[in-house]
Amino acid sequence: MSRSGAVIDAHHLEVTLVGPGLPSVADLRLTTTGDPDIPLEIAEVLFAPEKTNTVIVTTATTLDTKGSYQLFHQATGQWYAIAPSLIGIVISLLLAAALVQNFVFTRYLGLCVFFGVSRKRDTAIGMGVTFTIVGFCSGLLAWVLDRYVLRPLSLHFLEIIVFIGVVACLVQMTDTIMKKLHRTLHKKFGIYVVLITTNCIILAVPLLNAMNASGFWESLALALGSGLGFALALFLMSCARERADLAPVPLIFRGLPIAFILAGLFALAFLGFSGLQV
Amino acid sequence: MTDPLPPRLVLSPGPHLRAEMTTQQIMWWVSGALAPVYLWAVAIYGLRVIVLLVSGIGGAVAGEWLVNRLRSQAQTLSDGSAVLTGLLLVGTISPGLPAWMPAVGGFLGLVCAKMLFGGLGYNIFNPALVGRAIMMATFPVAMTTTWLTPRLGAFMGTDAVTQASPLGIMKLEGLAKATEILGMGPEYYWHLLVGLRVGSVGEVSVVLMLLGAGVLLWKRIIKWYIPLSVLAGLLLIALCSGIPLFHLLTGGLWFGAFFMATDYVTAPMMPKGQIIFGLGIGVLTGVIRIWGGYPEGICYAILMVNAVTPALNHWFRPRRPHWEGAPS
Repeated sequence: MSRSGAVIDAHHLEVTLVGPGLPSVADLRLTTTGDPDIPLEIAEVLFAPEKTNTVIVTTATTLDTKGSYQLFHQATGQWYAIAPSLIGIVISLLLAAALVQNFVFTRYLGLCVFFGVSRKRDTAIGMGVTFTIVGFCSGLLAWVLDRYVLRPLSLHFLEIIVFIGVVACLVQMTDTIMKKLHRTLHKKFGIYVVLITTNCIILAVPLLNAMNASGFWESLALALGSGLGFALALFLMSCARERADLAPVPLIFRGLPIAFILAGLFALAFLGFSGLQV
Repeated sequence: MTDPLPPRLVLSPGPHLRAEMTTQQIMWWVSGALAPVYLWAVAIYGLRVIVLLVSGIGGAVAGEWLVNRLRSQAQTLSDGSAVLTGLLLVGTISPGLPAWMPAVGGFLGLVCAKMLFGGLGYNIFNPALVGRAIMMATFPVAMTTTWLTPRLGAFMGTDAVTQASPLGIMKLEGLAKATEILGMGPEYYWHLLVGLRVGSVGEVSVVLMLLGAGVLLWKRIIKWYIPLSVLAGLLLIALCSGIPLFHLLTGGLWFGAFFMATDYVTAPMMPKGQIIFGLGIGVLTGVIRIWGGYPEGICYAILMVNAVTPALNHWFRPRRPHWEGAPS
C-alpha cells in the first residue's frame, strides 16, 4: 500500500483516489495506522479544487499532522495510506536533531568532549567533522543490527552492550584503516577518532532510534543531525572561548569555569527553540 | 634626581584614530534617545514603570559594583553601561511585574553575562537580554501574564486592568480567532503605530522608538545595517503568515532591532557580518513567533545570533588595504 495522501491540518486531509467519482461519507472508513478497530469520524468529503480524482476529507476528530492514517473505500475495496512525505520527515528530523533539540544545549549530552576540545577553533572543527562521519556510520550499523538481529531474536535487553560494542569496534577499525591508508589524515584526525568513544551522543543516537523503532531514513536523519548539531555546538563554543581567553576574566573563572558559564548562556539562548514545531 | 622631561615624541602602536565620542557619551545619548519611550510608558501604564526602572537599574548597578568591589579594582559605573543595561532590561518586561523581579534579572544578567567575562567590551551575550531570558526561565508565569491595558493618563489613577498581549493572543487562539478578538482594522494598526496597545514597557510606541532611533542614526551612534536587516528578515517570514503588517508592528521588534541588536560589543564589526547578523535575528524571530513555543522570539533570536557573532567576526575580517606598488 503506497502513500496516496497527506494530512493538511488538524481537521483536513487530502487523498488521491484511484477511480473517479465522489465517495459518500458512509462509504469511507478512516483509522489510525496500527489501530484499525477505532474508526475516526468523518464530517464531509469534497473534491479538491483544480485536481482530478483528489478529494478533501474533513474530519470531526482532531488529526495529528505528523501521524499516519488509513482510509478504506468500501465501494471499491481500496485502501489508501495517508502519511507525511518521507522527505518532510527526514528534513524535520534533521533540523530537530541539529538545532531545535541540539544534543549538547538542550539534552546536555556529550559534554565531556564538548568542553575538552572546544578550546581552539581548529581542534573543534576537526572533532566536529570526524564525529559527524563516525556517528553517521555507527548509527547506520546499529540500525541494521537492531532491525535484523536484535529485534527478530527478541534481544532488546542487549541493546546497550551491543551498541557500545559497535561503537568501539567501529572507532578502532576507523583508526586502524586510517593509519594504514592515509598517514596525514590519521595524524590530523586520529586523536579525535579515539576520543569519540567517550562521547555519549554516539550511544544516545542508536538507543533513541531503537526506542522509537525508527525506519531506515529516520535513523539516518537522526544520526546525521546529531553529528551536525554537535559540530555546530563545538564550533560556536570554540569561537566564543577563543574570545573569552583574550578577555580579563577574573582569575578564579579562567579556563573551564568560564566555559561552563558560556555553555549555560548558550543553553539559555537555545531555550528559544523549545516548543518549536518542525 | 630631577624628573625626566615630558616626552616630545610619543611612540605607540595603532590604532591612532580617535573616536569623536567617549563610551560615556554614547551610553548617555542612547539613554536619552530612549527617554520619550519610557515617558510614554509612564503615561499609559502609570507610575509603576518608574518603580520597575529603579529596581532594574538598581539590580544592574549593584551587580557591577559588587563584582568590581570583590575583584578590588576601580569602579566602572561611571561609564553608564550598567544604567543602560538596566534601562534596556526594563524595556523588555511586562509593566505589571512585581517590582523586585527586574532587580533579580538585572543583577544576574550583568554578573553572568558581563562582569564574569571581564566587564564592558568582553561580553559575548547582551547582558540585558540574558537578564530577561533568566527571568523568563525563573518566573515564566509572571513574565507572560502581567500585561496591563494602556490608558492615557494612567499615572493619575491606581487601578490597572490585565489583558493578554497581541502576540500572546495570536499564539493561543490562532490567526482566525485572534483577528476577531483584536479587530484588525486601520484603527487597530494606528494604535499599534502610536503605541496604544498591550505590551512590554519599552516596546509599545513604534513612532517614539523611530524618533529615538533617528537621533542615534543622526549622531552616527548606530548604523542602519543591523536594524534594517532585522526588519527585512522578519518581513521575509511574516509574509508566509498572511499578516505581515501585524508582525512588523507588534512585539519588541523595533526595540530589539534599534536598541538591542545594535549593541557594539555583541554585534559583528564589519557591514557584511552585520547584515547576516540582522537577517538571522529577523528570520529566527519570525520562526519562533509563528512556529515556536513562545509568543515573542526577538529576545532569544538576538541571544542565538549573539552566539554566532565571534564566528562572523572571524569570517568577515577587515582586510589590510593593498594597492599597487605598496611595500609588502
